[in-house]
Amino acid sequence: MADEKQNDVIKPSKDTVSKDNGSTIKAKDLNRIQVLKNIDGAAGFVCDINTGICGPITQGKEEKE
Amino acid sequence: MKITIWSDFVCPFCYIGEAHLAKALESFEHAENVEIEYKSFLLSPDAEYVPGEAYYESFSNLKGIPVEQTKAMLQQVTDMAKASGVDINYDIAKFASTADAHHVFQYAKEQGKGNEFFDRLYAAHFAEGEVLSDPEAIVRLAEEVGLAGEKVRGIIAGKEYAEKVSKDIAESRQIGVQGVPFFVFNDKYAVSGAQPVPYFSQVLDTVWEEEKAEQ
Repeated sequence: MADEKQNDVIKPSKDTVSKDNGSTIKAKDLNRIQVLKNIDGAAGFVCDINTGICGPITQGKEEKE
Repeated sequence: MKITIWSDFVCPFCYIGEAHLAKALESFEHAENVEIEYKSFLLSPDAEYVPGEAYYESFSNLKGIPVEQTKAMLQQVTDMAKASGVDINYDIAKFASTADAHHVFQYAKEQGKGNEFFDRLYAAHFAEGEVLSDPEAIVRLAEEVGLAGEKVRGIIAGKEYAEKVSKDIAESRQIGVQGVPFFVFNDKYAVSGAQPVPYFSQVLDTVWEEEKAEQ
């Protein structure tokens, strides 16, 4: 599923990329692609591919990924 | 840097998210080295345009959700679009299938007009009230970006590009996409959803730095 080599490239720590400006991106594996997570508190918004309903990304959806 | 975007013409957060990405690219000093590729996704393949029916009514009927919930969803979208400087007007938008339009998009992509066609259909749906399942509307919009109308009519009638649309959708499911828009940077890193402009800027910088480090 996940490509560990790719993980090593972007992640100085286990699952977080720290930037000099203090913000952070959390990386999470999704098959061969890493999904970068915004953990600064701002919500992303999507249209669910199964229901077509649009709204903020919920924690539940994130866990499914 | 390559950015691949799974989207549908009628996906409001795709329209808004891509506007945010565009703003981030305006201040990205390596923007001229960024290539954007759209991929098809059908959010409501079963949608049928019902003349005279409001968007929220059609949406609620197809999805089986209360009208009030749909109205709240559309209001949230409209408010966010306004804050982002994106023109979305659900008073005139038409709920309809985008399947035929995506077939034409695949042809437009082959002709080097894919991104232009995608952007044109966003505006047609969200700001101009065009019915994206109407073959004549699709032909007219395709002609506006420089495609041959007769060829487009043939594509709509022949469904010959349906397989390419299905392939894009299958690929999205293969990599685990749960929602659109879905942005993939350099085939390695993904951003799900319409995110704020500073976040896209941060991702562009991070991916660019890694790309340079690998060279």
